Amino acid sequence: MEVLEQPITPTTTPATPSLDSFVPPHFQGPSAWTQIQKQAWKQYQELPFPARNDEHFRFTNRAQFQFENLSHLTPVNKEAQKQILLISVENRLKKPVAGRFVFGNDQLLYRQNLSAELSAKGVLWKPFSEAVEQHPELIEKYFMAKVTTLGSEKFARLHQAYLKAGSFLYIPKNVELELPLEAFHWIAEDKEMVFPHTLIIAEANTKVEIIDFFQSIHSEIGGFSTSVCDLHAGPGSQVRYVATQLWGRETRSFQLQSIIVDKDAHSKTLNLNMGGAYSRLESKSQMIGSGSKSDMLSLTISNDKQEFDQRTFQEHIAPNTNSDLLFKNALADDSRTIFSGMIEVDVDAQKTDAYQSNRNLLLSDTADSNSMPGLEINANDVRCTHGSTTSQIDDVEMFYMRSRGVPLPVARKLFTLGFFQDVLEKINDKDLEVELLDLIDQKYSQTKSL
Amino acid sequence: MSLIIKDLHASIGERQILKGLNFEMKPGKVQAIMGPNGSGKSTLSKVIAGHPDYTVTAGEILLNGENILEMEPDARARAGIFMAFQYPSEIPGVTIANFLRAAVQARLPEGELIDAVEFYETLYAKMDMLEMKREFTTRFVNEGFSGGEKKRNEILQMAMLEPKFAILDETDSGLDIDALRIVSQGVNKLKGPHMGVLVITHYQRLLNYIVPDEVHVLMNGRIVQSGGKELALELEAKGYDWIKEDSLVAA
Repeated sequence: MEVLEQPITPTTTPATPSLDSFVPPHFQGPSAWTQIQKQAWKQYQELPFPARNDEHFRFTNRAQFQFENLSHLTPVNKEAQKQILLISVENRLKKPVAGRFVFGNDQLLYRQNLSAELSAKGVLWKPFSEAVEQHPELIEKYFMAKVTTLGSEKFARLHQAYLKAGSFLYIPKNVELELPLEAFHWIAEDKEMVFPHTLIIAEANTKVEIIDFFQSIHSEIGGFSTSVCDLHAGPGSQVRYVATQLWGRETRSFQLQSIIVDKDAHSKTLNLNMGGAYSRLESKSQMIGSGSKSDMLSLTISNDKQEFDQRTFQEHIAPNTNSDLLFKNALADDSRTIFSGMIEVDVDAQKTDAYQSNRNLLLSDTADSNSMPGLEINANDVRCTHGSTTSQIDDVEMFYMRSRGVPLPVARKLFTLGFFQDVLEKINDKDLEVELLDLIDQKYSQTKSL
Repeated sequence: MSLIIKDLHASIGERQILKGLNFEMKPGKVQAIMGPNGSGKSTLSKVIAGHPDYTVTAGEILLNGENILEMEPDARARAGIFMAFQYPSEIPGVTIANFLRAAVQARLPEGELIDAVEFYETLYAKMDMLEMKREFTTRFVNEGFSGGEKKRNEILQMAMLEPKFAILDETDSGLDIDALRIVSQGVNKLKGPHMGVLVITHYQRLLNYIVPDEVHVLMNGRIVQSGGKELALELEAKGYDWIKEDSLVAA
């Protein structure tokens, strides 16, 4: 593939968008929790909206920030419920899971609890609203212990203040889950806002996989989501988290992830980004224990006028730690992507091995990818590499494929899947790979220029 | 079934390479086109396949009476034309199985899905014929392949796609004797009344293995001499210069 010059496009910055939609949330629940939410609401109001010259929003098209006339907790009508459960539950009966939640407009529509066996071992899998009542000590210790530092602090507080729906997972030490857990978050109404939360507490020597699906009931639907995933990988644990983002085409979203990896633990996260008008992902890994490792993977397929705005941080705090980031974007039509990544190695984090790579495949002449890889190293005995490439499908390779009778759109899709192949290989889960390929296929069938 | 090339003129950039070439590929026959470097051999194969770098300035290529110059490269392939590349491309991340599946699928009627079991049965049988190991199916197309493996892969594709007319562009280049033997055996097994084969080569060596029914000489963008397989031997012995003189005399 040929490597192109990085295009630098200035973005227009309109006046600070209206945040009128965010009226004070209705606080309820135990008083300690209510206090947290009230405090968050206060902080939200005090924090400034990201300034125009905020480096964390460089290249962001602020015209995308449209938050007017939003509603929250709109009841999900019968027909919508039926459709949601068909996709989230009935169509997935063949896939065994340890537990599953389905939320629509931040309301719990379905739950599959853990088996008696797992419950007996002390595993907790609860809707977030139950967890705040039943496990306040765990909430206090782990809930948004490390908020994002990548620009969306204000939105993190907004999330905290409005939070109703989400998954709470606690795994006591030495317990391994064979089957994954799944949570679905649906926007079932146009202009609805949701605040999905995922809190994963994996104690020492545990093993678990959890998959979030973010979807809208119609592909053209608008709305606003601010989601947070709080992942705590205890010593020697293996945690895999997959976020599949399939919001409707007019939806704006902020997706914040905090990944804390303790001694000898291994966290693997994958973001599959396909939906939304403006979709911001902030993902931060902190290697706090020696021997910890975080793999941060992402696949984005953008088309039409979609914008995907991705900010990442790999913070090496303890020595002998490892992080491996690979973000791949395939851009069609007039879509945009922004990648800004930072590896930070603290003074004490000797023998850090860190890798950061952003690769963009342009499928049209009008797609626009922006890449800002970064490094900040304060230790002297480390190995860090970072880089980015932007390329187009090679003409010679394209002719070769077409000369075998493969039509242009199919060829483009094959090239894109080939481009994604190394990320899919790193997932190392055939079933999940098949499921993701199927979703990618659906997205391609909606892409005009392909 | 016929493939007729009439008065073909083609250029790349400003350079005119084919200058009124006439040729007819015949079903069931193996035909060879030989010629010195720069005579237009590779241009001919690429123009037939529809390579976008070449511009056809005059003439036509008729497949069963239809001018394929109007068709996209993939449509030509589906209509029954196959070119084995001199330098096959590497396609990172795309396995041979997926590549061939897409190519076979593209030949099915709209809405009809490939039968996966049948596909693999056929694929494995053709791979056995070409002495290719099964694990090739999961390797990425041509990535890290030796010269011989690349050419075997070309013939495998030809075997799977069953073209009406196959053009082998300098298939012998980069092959050692063993690879040459395997590739040639593959072509010999595949050829038959249903397919016309055009072997384009600089050297006579390949024609010891794939014996042609006809040999044609391409020079300066035109076919200047035609004969039987003995013409290849004569070229091997005497070089191309004598033909140059002959054709000048004829002109």
